[in-house]
Amino acid sequence: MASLPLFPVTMVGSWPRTPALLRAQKQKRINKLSVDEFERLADAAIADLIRVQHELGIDIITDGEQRRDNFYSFVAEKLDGVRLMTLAEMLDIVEDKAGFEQILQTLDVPAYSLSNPTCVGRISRRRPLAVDELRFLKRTSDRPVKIPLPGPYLLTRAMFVAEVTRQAYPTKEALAEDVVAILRAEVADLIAEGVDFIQLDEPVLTEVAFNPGKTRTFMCASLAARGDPSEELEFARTLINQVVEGMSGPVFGVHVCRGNWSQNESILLEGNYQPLASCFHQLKIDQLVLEYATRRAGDLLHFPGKSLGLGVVNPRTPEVESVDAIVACVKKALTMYAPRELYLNPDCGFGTFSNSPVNQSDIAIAKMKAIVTASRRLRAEYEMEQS
Amino acid sequence: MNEQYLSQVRVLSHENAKEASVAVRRQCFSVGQAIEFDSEAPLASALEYVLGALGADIVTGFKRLADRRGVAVDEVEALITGRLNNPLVYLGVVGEKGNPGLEHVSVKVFVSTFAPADTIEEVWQEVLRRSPLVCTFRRAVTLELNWKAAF
Repeated sequence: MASLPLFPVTMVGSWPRTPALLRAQKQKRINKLSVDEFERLADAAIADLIRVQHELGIDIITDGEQRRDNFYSFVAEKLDGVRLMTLAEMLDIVEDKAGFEQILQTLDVPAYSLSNPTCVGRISRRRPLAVDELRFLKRTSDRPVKIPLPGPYLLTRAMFVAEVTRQAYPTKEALAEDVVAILRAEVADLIAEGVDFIQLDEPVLTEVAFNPGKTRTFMCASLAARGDPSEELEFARTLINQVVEGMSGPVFGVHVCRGNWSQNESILLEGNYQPLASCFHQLKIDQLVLEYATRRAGDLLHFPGKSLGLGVVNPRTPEVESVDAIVACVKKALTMYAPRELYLNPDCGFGTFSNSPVNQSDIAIAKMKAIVTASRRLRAEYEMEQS
Repeated sequence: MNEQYLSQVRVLSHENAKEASVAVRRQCFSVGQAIEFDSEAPLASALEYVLGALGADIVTGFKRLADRRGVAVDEVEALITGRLNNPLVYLGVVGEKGNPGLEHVSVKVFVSTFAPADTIEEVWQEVLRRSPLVCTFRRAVTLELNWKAAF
């Protein structure tokens, strides 16, 4: 990657889709729109979003996950042995119907609108997961680019639905072996295509750490039975390290958050990163992309040897954080991290689930603009100090 | 009374006081007790069946009437929430006042369609006008009815 300035700004991933793109996504799902036509519309939406990022001065560009239904379900289109099942279909087969009902009511969406990539046979890559996304980004932007991928623990937890998966894999550990192999192949392809930053999304880690035995928080984690928290974290750490083992070139990040599907902060998870610290320390990655813009995330912790993608704005609120507040947040982090170790980003995406984004694009733009302005101010101060 | 307008089911008790069997035409199904407080209970309660019946009336009616008008609707889903006046009366808690009946029922219907909103609104109004259970509930409880488009 070309050398980055201090305090580089990037998004975590998703961006609200336009009504036209949402409509096209739905039409594609019910075979009323061809894949090629959908891709043409998605290309146009992404080109617009890239232009916005260029104008704002964002340093590492993403495509806003515009081609995806959400941050992990899209793999169903790319993998054999995986079927995208709506929650409406899954309600018939999963045991914890009440847990699903709670999530549906909080999201205020129907069961037919949420989909899960469910393992229904031996899995293999029919085509790459995100290489097409990367190629378009590289064609359209000359800046460094980030590709978010669902992490191996998330994918395993989401895809293993015992009632239908056991015919192919007796345990989630057996499924995880193939998930890791698929992600390693994907990472190798992305590196070959010149990706600058690969972010593995593992939001479910917080539920493991903060919520053992309590209400399910992530739809994607509602399926596989949860084990002992320390064993689960060990399992997750092993899988993530297996994916990145021996890989080099891009920055490898892992993104963890406490839920990004409701604007009601009181129902999202709460707690600092201490219960995850041991797991984080042992991850063989370059960066932790963490939320810190809400009190729910607790006090900042230092993870030596890793840079920090510092969450400085809440993607779910209508109020735009002030530049002063963002600068203050970064200065606090600078008591633990060197300037070169800090990247600035929102806590999470602005449109994690395409049909229920947590914010509107005009507010998302204003928030990203505030981050960029803060970054410029910090850059001026600390570049001078470092020179 | 016009006999062709009658609906009839036969309901049998079990040794287990928490279950009843309902025989209707060529089918039979089991129903739990009136109200269920145990989240692990194996049967849906009588109250949940009533709410489910109202929802089934609405979603099937919506699909049927939309089809009849040539309006393409991919999915219809209803969330029905009933609020009892005082379930503690049902439990026999000493000193509790009021009645254990339904007081308020809200119905939220999600519709997946590319049809214009005013077309869907026309279908919706026809559903409400022609639904046997909506018309019944309206006379008995406060009934709140809404629909929204959702992909």
